[in-house]
Amino acid sequence: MTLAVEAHGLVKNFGDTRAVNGVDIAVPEGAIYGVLGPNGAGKTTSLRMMLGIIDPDEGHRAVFGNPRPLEIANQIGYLPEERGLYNSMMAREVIAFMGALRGLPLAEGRLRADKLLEDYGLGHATKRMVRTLSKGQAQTVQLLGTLVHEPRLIVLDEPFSGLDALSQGRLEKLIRSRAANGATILFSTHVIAHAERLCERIAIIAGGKVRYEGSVSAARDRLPSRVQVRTRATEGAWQADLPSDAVLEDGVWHFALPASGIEPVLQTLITHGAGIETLAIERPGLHDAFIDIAGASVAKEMNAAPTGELA
Amino acid sequence: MNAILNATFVIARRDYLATVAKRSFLLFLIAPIVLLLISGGVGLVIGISAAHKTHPSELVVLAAPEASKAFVEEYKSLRDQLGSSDFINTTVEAPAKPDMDAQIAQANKLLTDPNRAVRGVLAGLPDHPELVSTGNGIDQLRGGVNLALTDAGAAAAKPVEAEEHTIDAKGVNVTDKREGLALVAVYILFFLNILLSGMLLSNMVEEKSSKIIEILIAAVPVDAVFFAKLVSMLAISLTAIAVWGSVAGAGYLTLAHFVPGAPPPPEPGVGWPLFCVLEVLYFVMNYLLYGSIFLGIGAQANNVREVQIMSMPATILQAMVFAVISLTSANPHGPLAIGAMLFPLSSPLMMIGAAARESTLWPHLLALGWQALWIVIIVRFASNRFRRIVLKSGPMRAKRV
Repeated sequence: MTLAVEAHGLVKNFGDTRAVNGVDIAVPEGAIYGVLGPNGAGKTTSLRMMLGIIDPDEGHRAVFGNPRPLEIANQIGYLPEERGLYNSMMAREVIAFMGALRGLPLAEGRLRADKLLEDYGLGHATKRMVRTLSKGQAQTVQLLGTLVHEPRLIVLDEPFSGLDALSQGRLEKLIRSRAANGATILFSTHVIAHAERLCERIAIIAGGKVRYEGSVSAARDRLPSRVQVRTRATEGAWQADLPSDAVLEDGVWHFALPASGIEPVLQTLITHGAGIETLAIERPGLHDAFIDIAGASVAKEMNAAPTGELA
Repeated sequence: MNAILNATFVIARRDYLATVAKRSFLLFLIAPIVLLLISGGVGLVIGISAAHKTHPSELVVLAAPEASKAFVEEYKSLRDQLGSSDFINTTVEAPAKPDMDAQIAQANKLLTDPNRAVRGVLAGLPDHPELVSTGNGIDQLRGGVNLALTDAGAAAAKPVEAEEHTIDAKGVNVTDKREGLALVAVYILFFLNILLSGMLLSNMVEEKSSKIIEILIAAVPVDAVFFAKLVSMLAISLTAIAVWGSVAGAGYLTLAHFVPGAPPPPEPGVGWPLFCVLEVLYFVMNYLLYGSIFLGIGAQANNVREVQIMSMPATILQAMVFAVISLTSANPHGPLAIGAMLFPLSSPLMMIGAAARESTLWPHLLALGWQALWIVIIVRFASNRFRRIVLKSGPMRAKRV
């Protein structure tokens, strides 16, 4: 497996505070990789260290095997968490400028900017000054500036923050299309649903440490599937044969799928005439896995954090 | 390396175009010109009126009456015939001492006598005539005087050319004039620096507050971003100087045209062409030295108020440097002057003074190299401080994983 980004034991202290405490991450080339964690978990600091914007106090990092990522900045596109653009520049000029910073000739950048803006539904804004754009439009312009030089690695720090639902959907589509073209996407988010929908692999960071690193599927497989059964009979000898963790809530039995499978349980219910009204077996979501990995309190922080979605 | 240079150029180019395209820059350019035009206009009017009122109109002939008789008669005769303004009133005065040096000294005295309007002095008659005046005065008087001399000595086969001793209107010798030029050059450099380097202070604060800085430093090393900012602001400053310089030059030529008695600028030690080149080079060095300090300060400040507070020591330092340089003018080769030439922040100002006074060139090459070295040191230091304090970036041990 060729790695686009690798980090081993990254540590970063800000004064007496240890912001990042030994982060290990391996992002395979061509993957869509999510860094999940609540605000203040150390996601942005980790990304900045991986990109060479700041140097770690301890540990090593490399992008496409190069420990000095700025040397290969032309192969990287980066959307910072704190958005910012030159207000007195036209949208196409900003995009071309961002491309030129990473080696794309300005004339070529302008052509690509026009096309990107057109494709993204902002063709009318090509020659508009940034200050006249809405917040969402300006964010889109910055995102397009991140992509204009067609980087091999695209790093997006909280890219969904501040976007409305429509724009979020567009961004997801864009991420998938770039990945399909061979780019590696690394993004941070505190919204689990985005990571669950987009990512093949994730790292869950909390308290400056990586609590989990691996595939989304493996994270979900850490927990057994959940079974929900509604029976016609409310009482009977069959109750004693249900798994020990079975709980009755609103007439529905909830329990973890036993290691032996669902068949023995169903056999018992049928034999004793409990009468199966509904049956659902649900694979745990990433949210459940997150709670299991990072703890309920961290998950609560994630939920409490603003998603940035425009109402 | 090419990619970094390219990105540095991209940042500098954007900053330059963004600044010069603003209306405020046009105002920034025009304001001093308007002031210059107003003061120049007033100066022109005063100059013309003064020229008409007090134009020196007396030619003093330093000789015994019998020695000067032939010349004076011929000169008056020519004036009556030709009526040209180049023929002025003559007065004959006896020389205080017979030797030529004493007569030249007497001539200088006469030319600077505020109670008289002496335009020129003809000494050394009858055998070794010398015409003493300002450069313009000699230009004005030379033809008439030589014609009269030739006519007066009709027996002689060829015309008698007067030897010329050029002094300025105030009777100041060349060394003193160059000292004056040195002071003017230092003043120009100092005030241009004060006026222009301040722009760098707010530049980084704006970048930080608009969050652009994160995009820049993700693509280019911090040193390169700093250097790009310096270069762009320097280019902006040079644009302003080119405009102001052209207007000032045109103003001077206009003034010289309308006021014939205006003294010509003294010749600097290294000659005018090289002096102009050195003035620009030392401005560049001075600007980059202070600019890198201001940029470093601006990079660490979070808002304009912080910039103002943090820049105070640098501004005081600038004033102190200027005060020290002013002190060295009394003894430009003394230990204080040599120390000021070596101290990087005063070196450009000191060296432009030296270029006005002296013709030696090699110290300038050394000084420019020395100043360039300090610019690199200060930029590196400022970018390191930015990395450590603002980005809070620690040391990176470059090991391959």
